[in-house]
Amino acid sequence: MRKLQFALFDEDCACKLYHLLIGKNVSDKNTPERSPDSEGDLSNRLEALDTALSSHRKAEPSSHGKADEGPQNNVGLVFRMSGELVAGGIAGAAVGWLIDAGLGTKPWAFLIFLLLGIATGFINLIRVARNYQSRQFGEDQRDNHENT
Amino acid sequence: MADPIVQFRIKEIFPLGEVGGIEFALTNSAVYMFAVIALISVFLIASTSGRGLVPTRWQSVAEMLYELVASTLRNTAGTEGMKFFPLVFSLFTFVLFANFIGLFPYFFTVTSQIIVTFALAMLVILTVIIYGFMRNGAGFLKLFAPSGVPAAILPVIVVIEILSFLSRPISLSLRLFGNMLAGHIVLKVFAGFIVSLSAFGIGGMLGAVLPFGMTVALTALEFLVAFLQAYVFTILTCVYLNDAIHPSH
Repeated sequence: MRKLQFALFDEDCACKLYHLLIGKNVSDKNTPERSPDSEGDLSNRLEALDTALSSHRKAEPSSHGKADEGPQNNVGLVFRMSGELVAGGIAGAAVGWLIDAGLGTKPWAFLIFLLLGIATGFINLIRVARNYQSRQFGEDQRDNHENT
Repeated sequence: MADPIVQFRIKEIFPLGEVGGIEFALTNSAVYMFAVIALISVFLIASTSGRGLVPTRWQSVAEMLYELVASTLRNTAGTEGMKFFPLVFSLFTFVLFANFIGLFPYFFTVTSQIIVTFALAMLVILTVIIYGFMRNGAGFLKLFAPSGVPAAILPVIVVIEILSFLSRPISLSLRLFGNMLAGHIVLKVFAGFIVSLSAFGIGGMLGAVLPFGMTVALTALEFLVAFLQAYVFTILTCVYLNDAIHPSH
């Protein structure tokens, strides 16, 4: 089971921010280069902070962005899946019942749409699972990726 | 043994009169909703009023909440999704605080009422539908017809996609409601075992240690569930909003 870690607080980002504002020399590999003479200039420093933040944001989705797409641990995933399966059936039954009430085709639309609804529930279940799988095992299933 | 359902009963606190044959009243549910909003406001205003560069303990908690929601939204719906940040953050904090307030003994859990969770889910889905049509026009309907599907089975797929879309508010509301309801009932039942066992004298009291341990463990689990449900609600909100922004699969 994967560690229960949410991207609550990004230490890397905070560290960069802190050092840029304080103006100390940092040996961070991601810190943009600053010439020593611009050290005291506030606007230059702010600019550097801006680029650092935006590059950090751009880098984020590739580094650990995929992991943030869904519940990060298995408990959350289970909660999500259990809901999908039940809700599909209920939605199908409700639609079928409404069609029956409107057209007077008493049991038939209900039965057909109940089955379709259950099928929908399973499809959604498979989508969530596939989503999770492609997140776990790299990007090679990216073209199959669908947002449920 | 105490009835495990009594805790979900809605009580009138004072009537507000009648409009068109429907009675309106201030209920305990409404009072707790106001309490949740007041608590969130007080917490966020008080914790961020210092505006320290180096955050205090409370300020860093508020910043953590912000970072959690912002990074979830940005990673799921892209930078464009950030315009929905106020909505998503409000939903997240409301559900989170309502869940946590409900964990105090004798307190009412707002999110254990399906009409409340359903209203929250419909808020999300209606936002998705209205914004989706506003931004994409008829292109939003591409959501129901995935590209690359053979024409022969397209009708079936469209029906299934529509059902899948209709099932979203149901799954969103049912999941939150079901988890909160079930968790509180189970807690109450196990706590009730302690009382009824201890009525059997000294042997029963010794036996009551078992349900007591279970209650303690379940309380810890409920804290996890309270946070996770709020988080899952938020994530799915972001995923659905992403569909409104980019309707093609």
